[in-house]
Amino acid sequence: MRVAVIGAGVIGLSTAQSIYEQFHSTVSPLTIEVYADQFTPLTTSDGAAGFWQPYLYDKGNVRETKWNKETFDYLLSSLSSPECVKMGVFLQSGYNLCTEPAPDPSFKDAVLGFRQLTERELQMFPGYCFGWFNTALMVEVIHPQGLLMLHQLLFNQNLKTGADVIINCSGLRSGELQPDPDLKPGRGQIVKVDAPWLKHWIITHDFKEGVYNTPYIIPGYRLVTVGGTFQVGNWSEQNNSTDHKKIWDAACQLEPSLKHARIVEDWSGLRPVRGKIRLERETIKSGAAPVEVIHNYGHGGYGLTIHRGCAQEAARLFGQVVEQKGKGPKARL
Amino acid sequence: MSSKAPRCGLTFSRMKTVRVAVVGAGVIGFSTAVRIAEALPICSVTLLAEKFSPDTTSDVAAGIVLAQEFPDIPLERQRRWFKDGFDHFFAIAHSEDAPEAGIMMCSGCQIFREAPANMKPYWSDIVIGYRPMTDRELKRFPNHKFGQAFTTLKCECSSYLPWLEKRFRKAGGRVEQRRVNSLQELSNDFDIIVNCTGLGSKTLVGDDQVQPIRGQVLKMDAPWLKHFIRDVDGMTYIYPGIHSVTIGGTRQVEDMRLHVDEGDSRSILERCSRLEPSLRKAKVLYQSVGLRPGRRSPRVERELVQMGGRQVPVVHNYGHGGWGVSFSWGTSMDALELVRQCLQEIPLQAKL
Repeated sequence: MRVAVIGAGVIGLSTAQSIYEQFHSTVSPLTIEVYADQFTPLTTSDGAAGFWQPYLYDKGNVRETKWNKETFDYLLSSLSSPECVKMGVFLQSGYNLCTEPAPDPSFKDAVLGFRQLTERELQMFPGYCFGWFNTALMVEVIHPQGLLMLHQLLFNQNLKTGADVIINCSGLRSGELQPDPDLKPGRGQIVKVDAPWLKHWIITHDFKEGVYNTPYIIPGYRLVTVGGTFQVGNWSEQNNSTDHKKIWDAACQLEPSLKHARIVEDWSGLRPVRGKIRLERETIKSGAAPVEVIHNYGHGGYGLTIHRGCAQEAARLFGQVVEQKGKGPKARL
Repeated sequence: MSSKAPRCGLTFSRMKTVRVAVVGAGVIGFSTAVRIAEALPICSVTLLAEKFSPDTTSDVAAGIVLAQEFPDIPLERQRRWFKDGFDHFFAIAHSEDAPEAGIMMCSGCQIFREAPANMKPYWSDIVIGYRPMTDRELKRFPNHKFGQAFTTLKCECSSYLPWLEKRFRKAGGRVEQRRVNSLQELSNDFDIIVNCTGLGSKTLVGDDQVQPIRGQVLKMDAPWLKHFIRDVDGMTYIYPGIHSVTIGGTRQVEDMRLHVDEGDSRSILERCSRLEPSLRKAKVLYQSVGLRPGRRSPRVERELVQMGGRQVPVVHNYGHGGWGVSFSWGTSMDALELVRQCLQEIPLQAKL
């Protein structure tokens, strides 16, 4: 069975890993090849702050809420082993701040120690009158060994024809493989700074401005990611000085100590935004034989947050394909 | 001193400046010196010490702001001490001064093998967001049945002490590097003596209650650790700081060894790695040893000491054990009040 995975961001690599984990002992031979124009550290995933948190509300999309929780539990379980350092996984607590009271977010049961903010905590953030505190996880993809572990499973990068199954994890560029009017760029610009005294993430929410268009400050492994732009429809991957000023001024107001932080670099990336994630099978009839495709793209600003749940679901769909093609264990009797 | 005397036939007698000596340059010494210099302009304050940062006991401390109950101090007074300190560090943490002063907010937990008698200690409404840990959170610590989660502050003295010194000098304070062998030797040059010599008080004022409690710590390069963990039953703790993670510890009473003990290092690494497995992948940056100025309770009181024909007011502020940073600002407030009381008692016809 030859599998071609398109895309080497967190979705592509984790899907390849899930398929490998679940099928390499029962489907033989199983070749998984990853094709991508960018590999770490140049993927969209690499620019992400690496913070596990879904959007506040799932709008009834319970599948995604389930996948988010599955990802959280999977990452949490890795903490009991020192391997978590290589994977770039660690716990970090912080504040979700709102300008008005709001219902509990969809992820309140997935994270640890979820509670409302006390008066004294809210006093730390003038302009915000409501919010929550919880402990969440970080997945710092930038740490090269995280993705390297996944790389070790996958070698051959020569494009060969005749893949049995194509796993489409091409993120924003999916539209080039197959038109998808629902898929749009959600441009984000961030500033990476050196401020090691910060040990909490701070995410602000303004329901009028929309998700991630107000300041957020997310300490990582060694640097702090400062951001707050989500420009739907903007394809530019160039850093913009107006955006930089807006982000920086807002963040310094939120966290005065940032004034003394050393700015390391700016970065811009395009989140693969879609109404909901496209995670489904498709049989494409082209030429002599139909091609089995499993789509797994459109994770917007929560790819890291949901990656494992989606990868496992994609592997489940892959299992269906295996059954149909008679390539499963039964077929070998 | 101003040299502009009024040019007329009258002479005005100036209020005599009261000369205050603060002995000790650790967190207690500098906190007390700053308090006095800022609040009492009539005082000319000189801080004297043999050792300064980074060579004080305070420099070894991780500086996490936590509290415990001292046996001989009324609870209300301890609570006030702790609250004073917490509010003080909290204000700095949320200002631009935070990185220079070495102050940061830190969330984490204290874990217990058995549930403690007092589920709501006196400091639980002073720290932020205090709550018992959830079962899911406790899963990470299979040997522990109970935990307290909260947010507190960390004060790194290698930054904080220089910051306090800056503040002290700005308020007119003077600093002198000098080993003080007896309080008597200060009586000619100073009107009030403030003793913040920590462990040094054992010999300086003959306080047998003071005993060294040796503590060894390792500084680790583990920037992925963002929470503190303290095992209350043992002596095991992990305190992420600005540039390194302090792990420890030991409590060896009457042990004056200042050099690193390799057996202690192994024990600390083993105990801490059990709580936080990722520490096994962390590099050791360096190790330190400090001698806590142990005492049943801190001595914060004043007395008059006979020195060469006169009664010299002495204010004591020492014996904070492993809680110096946490109680520094609060006890220094009490010391300031005691100095005020001494001022009121100094005869008005002071030697001119």
